[in-house]
Amino acid sequence: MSAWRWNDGRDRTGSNMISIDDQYVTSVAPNMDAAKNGRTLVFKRQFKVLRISEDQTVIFGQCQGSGKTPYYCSSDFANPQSPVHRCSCPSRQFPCKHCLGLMFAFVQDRSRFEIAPVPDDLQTKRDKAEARMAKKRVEAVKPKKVNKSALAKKIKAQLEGLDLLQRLTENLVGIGIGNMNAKSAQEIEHQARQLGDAYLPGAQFVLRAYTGLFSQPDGTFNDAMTSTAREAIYSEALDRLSTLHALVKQGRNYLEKRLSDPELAPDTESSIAAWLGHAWQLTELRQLGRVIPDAQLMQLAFNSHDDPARGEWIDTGVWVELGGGNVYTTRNYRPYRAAKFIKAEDSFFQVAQVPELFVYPGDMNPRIRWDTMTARPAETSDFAAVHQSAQRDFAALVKQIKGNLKGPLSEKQPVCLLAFRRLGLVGETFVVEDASGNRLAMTDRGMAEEPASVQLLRLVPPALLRDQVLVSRFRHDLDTGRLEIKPLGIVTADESVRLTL
Amino acid sequence: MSIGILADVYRETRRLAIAGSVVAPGDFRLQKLIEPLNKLGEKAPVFLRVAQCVEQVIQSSERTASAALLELASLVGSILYTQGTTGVEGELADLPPCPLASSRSQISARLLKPLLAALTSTGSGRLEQIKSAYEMSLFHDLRLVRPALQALDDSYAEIRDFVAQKILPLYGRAILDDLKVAFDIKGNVADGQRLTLIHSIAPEEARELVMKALEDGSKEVKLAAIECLGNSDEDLNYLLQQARARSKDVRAAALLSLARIKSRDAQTHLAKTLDSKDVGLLVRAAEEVAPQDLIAGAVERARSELATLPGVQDTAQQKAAVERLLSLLHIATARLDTAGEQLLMDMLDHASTWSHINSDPGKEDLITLGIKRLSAGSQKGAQYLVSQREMISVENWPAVVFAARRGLEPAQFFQTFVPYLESEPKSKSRTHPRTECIVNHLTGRGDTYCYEWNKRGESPLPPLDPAWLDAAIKLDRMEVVRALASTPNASLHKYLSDKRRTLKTQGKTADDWALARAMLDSRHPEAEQFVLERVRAVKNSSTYWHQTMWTQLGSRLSASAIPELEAMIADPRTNNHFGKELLEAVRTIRNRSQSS
Repeated sequence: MSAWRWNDGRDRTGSNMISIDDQYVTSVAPNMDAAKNGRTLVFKRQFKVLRISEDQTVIFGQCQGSGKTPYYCSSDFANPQSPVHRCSCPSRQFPCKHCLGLMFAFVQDRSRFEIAPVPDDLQTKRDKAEARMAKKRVEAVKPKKVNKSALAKKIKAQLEGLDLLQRLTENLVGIGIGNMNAKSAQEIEHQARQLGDAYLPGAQFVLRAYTGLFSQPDGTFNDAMTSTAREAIYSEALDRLSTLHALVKQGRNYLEKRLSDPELAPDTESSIAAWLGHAWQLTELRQLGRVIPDAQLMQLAFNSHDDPARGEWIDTGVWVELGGGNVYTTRNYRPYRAAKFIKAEDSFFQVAQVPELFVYPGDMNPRIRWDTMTARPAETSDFAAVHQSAQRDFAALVKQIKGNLKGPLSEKQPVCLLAFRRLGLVGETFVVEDASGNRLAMTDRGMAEEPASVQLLRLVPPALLRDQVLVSRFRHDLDTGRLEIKPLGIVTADESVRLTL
Repeated sequence: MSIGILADVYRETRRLAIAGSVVAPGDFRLQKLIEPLNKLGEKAPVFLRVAQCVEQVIQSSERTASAALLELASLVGSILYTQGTTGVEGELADLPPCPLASSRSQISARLLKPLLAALTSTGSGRLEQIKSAYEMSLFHDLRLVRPALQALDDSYAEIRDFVAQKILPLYGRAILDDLKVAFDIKGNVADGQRLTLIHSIAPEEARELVMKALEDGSKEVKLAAIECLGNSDEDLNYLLQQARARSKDVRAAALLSLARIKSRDAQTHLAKTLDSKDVGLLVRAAEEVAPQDLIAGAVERARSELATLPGVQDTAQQKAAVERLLSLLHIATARLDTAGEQLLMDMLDHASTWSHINSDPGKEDLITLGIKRLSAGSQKGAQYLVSQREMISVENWPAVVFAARRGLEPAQFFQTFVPYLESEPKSKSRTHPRTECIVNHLTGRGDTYCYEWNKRGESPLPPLDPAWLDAAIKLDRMEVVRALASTPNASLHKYLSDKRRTLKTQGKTADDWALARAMLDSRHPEAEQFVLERVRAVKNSSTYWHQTMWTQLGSRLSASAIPELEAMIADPRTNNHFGKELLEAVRTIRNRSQSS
């Protein structure tokens, strides 16, 4: 996903002249340190050359580094919705501090930028980029050519991986959940690595999540787990084993079908392709028609949590598309090893205007992505649209959710919008009620990705507890057999009050 | 659908999965479920499928049992997912209205997340983070209310206190229920703070809790409860009773509360305590509340103790007498009035009669306390100390100089103390201690009396006589000149110019730095040139501290110095540390010149 922006780099008249401000440059920085370092370069007057092209679409310069040769950096706004930053430095941060410094220098005093012809090498890169874009545009409409032999090889490897997964899963059931110990958990962890080699990262994560149930918060295994603590995780563990079993079955069917017909496109009706590690390309999604043009999105909840099973931090945004009323999620994965180089997402309080919204295959809250977006302040009509999208009949929604939950590979904790009549207490239980008197109980149990939120309802003003929209995460508790919700936020006629991060 | 039987199947499947599928073939308890499942299957085919899966598990071998058990678990799990219950029976009651006025403000996750971690985890640097968030008014976000409540149990006492005193009172009644729920009558200091908060938010509602805490509370909770007691007769009786409790802390808390009550009984008890061994426990009450009767009583008793002190010969008895006297003096001078001041002066007059006192604490403690208290008192007290200065030991001289500065006219202060500045040093390497005292006072170096005075926000001290500067120039006391140089002055400028010529160091001594500061402070015409010269000189110094000292002075230069400083920043030979310091200096100069 592209970085959040306060504007899209164009000036107010809509021409391609660069119109960026300090806030914009800070927002595109991968982290606060990079922004600070970029600013320092300007203060230290490290930019020996500052230039701007005649058509005012690209700024470029030379920044003195620690070596003899300066770094050649540029920020190209020829396509204002997706600026290109180039630098000769070896940094893996993007944009690097030199490009950020260049933009800060421009924001600070654009008169210091002399008009000059674009250097040949930069022009060549721009031409190549333009050609690439043109090619991309052409290729976007062309059917994707499949390297059949490579695909067949990959599928075979995946099938072998599924055989391994089946063996592992059956072994786990064979020894019994109750007999898991540090040694067996470590062995499984070791074998799970082979699944990554077999292009089955999804299976690898579920397997790690299973062993993770028996590990300490710091990721280490020990056998000191109390029987009460073990009892609390058995149902969850059995559910994960069922998921692995379903993945083996459905995955094998799907892969065998694809092996026999290499022309067959990845399945878009379910999330099986993603489970088997298919990384959806935007062009692919475009080809498959999974695009919503000119979408307007409002973020209703956000969380950033650590997923030790994946070895990543995950920034998750819950969004409602104001036109269609569907609830989507954005996910920004930041692997531990590369976290420094990947920008952490932040909560977003405006409305994102997205020219092309790409929707991943999935059931209830499909993942979305976009290349470019602009932001505008949220208006009353946007909140009205959220109210319009919310489900008024809890019974119908519950039926739909149950139908979804029965799929072993489905999203187990979907987020929905509930238009409620009243929110209150029955005894000690927080309950939300619709106009027909259908009720849902609230809990924080089993949903630890976000901080606890139920008790926060005691602190909200009374006006928020009647006839509003509740952003809720559903969860079926396997031990009690109850379908309950966790409140993530309340949307009123003119604001969205967040109860979690 | 008959959920009961499915729940049974799930339970048995779960049991077998926990034990291991090796025990699943032929499992008797699972087998018993096949018949009822088949029966139900006549009406709903899904039960037949479940029955088949159960059958497969029963019939399986050790090798195939795992797959069969997984198949059964998946099927039953899927069905149960569709059967989740949702309804909640009973009357739906409205949530009690919450008085949290500003609950709607929302801060971004980037700000919120580290703050949540600071409030709920451990590690260093958290207090600063919390304080800075408090100053930025971030705590109005309702998502921080519960973490702030949780921070009451923080292992770091300073965080606990800051949260209890500054943050939680922001939420008022909104947190009352949470405080009550979390309150443990047998708990620790945090529970004491909870009780204090509950009492400060809703004193009447807290009454019952306070009374209960007095009865059954742990020591910390009981102490907090005692301090919550008020003016009623019932409270008074209880406090009077607790003032005689076995625990010293309980007695101290009760005495503090009694001091707040303006009843005759309370005052009588406090007066009685002055005569008891608990007199030391009254010091806090005197300092926080300062009841007049108590202070007057302490003055009277201190006088009588002082009168008998010369006659006390036994060291143990001396110790007890001095300890009691010290407590009485603390109480008597908690709010220093004429009577208290006279007491101290009379005491110091008779200090010579205590030569036989060898206990610890002993006579020096009494004298030090007397001088310290007088130095912060009236003009009369200050004049008394000045008149006694030759008799007073060097250790207590800072108090004398401070008192003189406060109590004497600037010219008088100069005339009285300048001879000490002029006195010859004891040796080449050692200044006379009294001279050092004067220098410390004039330069503000290590003068705790002035520091404490300013910290308390008291009225500023009288200015120093300009003659001090002339004297310092005459005596070539560079550190004093540096401290007193504030306005352009011909003789000062001449002195500084001469000094500059004779200095041979290159920015690496304190004298060098003091000279530059004096030049800047007195707006010496060569100041900028001199500072730039020195900044240049330390550019390649390996001692970062020298560079920091000089760039700090560099930030006081005018805007005309910016090009040269920037040239130094851009010089590739400039090390990173120095570059950053210079950058900061340039930014300060720019900001200053823009604002002016």
